Amino acid sequence: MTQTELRVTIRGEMDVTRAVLDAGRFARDFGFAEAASMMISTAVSELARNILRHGGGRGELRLARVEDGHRSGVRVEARDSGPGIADVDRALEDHFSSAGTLGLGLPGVKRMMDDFEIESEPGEGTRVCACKWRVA
Amino acid sequence: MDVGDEVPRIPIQLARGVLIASVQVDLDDAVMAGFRKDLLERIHTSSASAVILDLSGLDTLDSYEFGELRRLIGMSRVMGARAVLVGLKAGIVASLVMTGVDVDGLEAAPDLDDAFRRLAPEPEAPQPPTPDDEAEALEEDDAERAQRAGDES
Repeated sequence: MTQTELRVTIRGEMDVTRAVLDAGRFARDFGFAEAASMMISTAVSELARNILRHGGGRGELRLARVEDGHRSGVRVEARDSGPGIADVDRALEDHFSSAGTLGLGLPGVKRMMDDFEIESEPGEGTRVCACKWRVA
Repeated sequence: MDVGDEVPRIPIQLARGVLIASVQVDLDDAVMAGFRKDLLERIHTSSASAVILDLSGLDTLDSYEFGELRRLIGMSRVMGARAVLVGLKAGIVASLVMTGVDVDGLEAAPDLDDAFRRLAPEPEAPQPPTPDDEAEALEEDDAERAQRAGDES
């Protein structure tokens, strides 16, 4: 029953809900503690919601188990072919009041996960990749 | 998945003048819209002075859902009902703080009993008078008596 990969196509709210639930289960099955699993599913929630609201309304979310020498973890990847983010640095700024910033929840994803990468090309889409390592 | 699927509703009950909303499902847009309408209507019809939001059934709460919840708490406040959050799981709290949302000014309690204690301090059982109260009462009596004596003379 243990999955090593999980893919969810994001097209609507229902897909976000499903991605969040599946991601939580995926992380727990892999031996992540409750709090860490919740962080992974919250990060998935933020990323899936971004696809819906800012990424052209359609995209894909992938979760995979990853190994890196002595450690193992979960990689979350979100892709869309939406309008892209013109100012990635600004999208990573904190938004305590959400006024004046983009409010994509990306700084939160960055904090909840251990490694974080983002590539975005205006007009082409956005790809976010984030890993969380399991504490042995 | 079907369009005909019913949107789950958040049950709301009234107990001791307080509305208790038990959130056991994911707060997506449709659920939130129904909940907002139901809760504000119940605050209006019941004149409840407080709302307890029982979030013990939630496994995740992302920054967007939290923002929607905060807005609803703000609306309740404008209608005169104070809101207390109950039953937030540790993982949700940790995630919330990490997402960088503003949690200032939110009231929370570990369980329903504690929430009720905060909202309704000693509804029954009047407090026995304290020595200070008694002393004050005596002083008043003296003052009245003196006044009456003055009036009579």
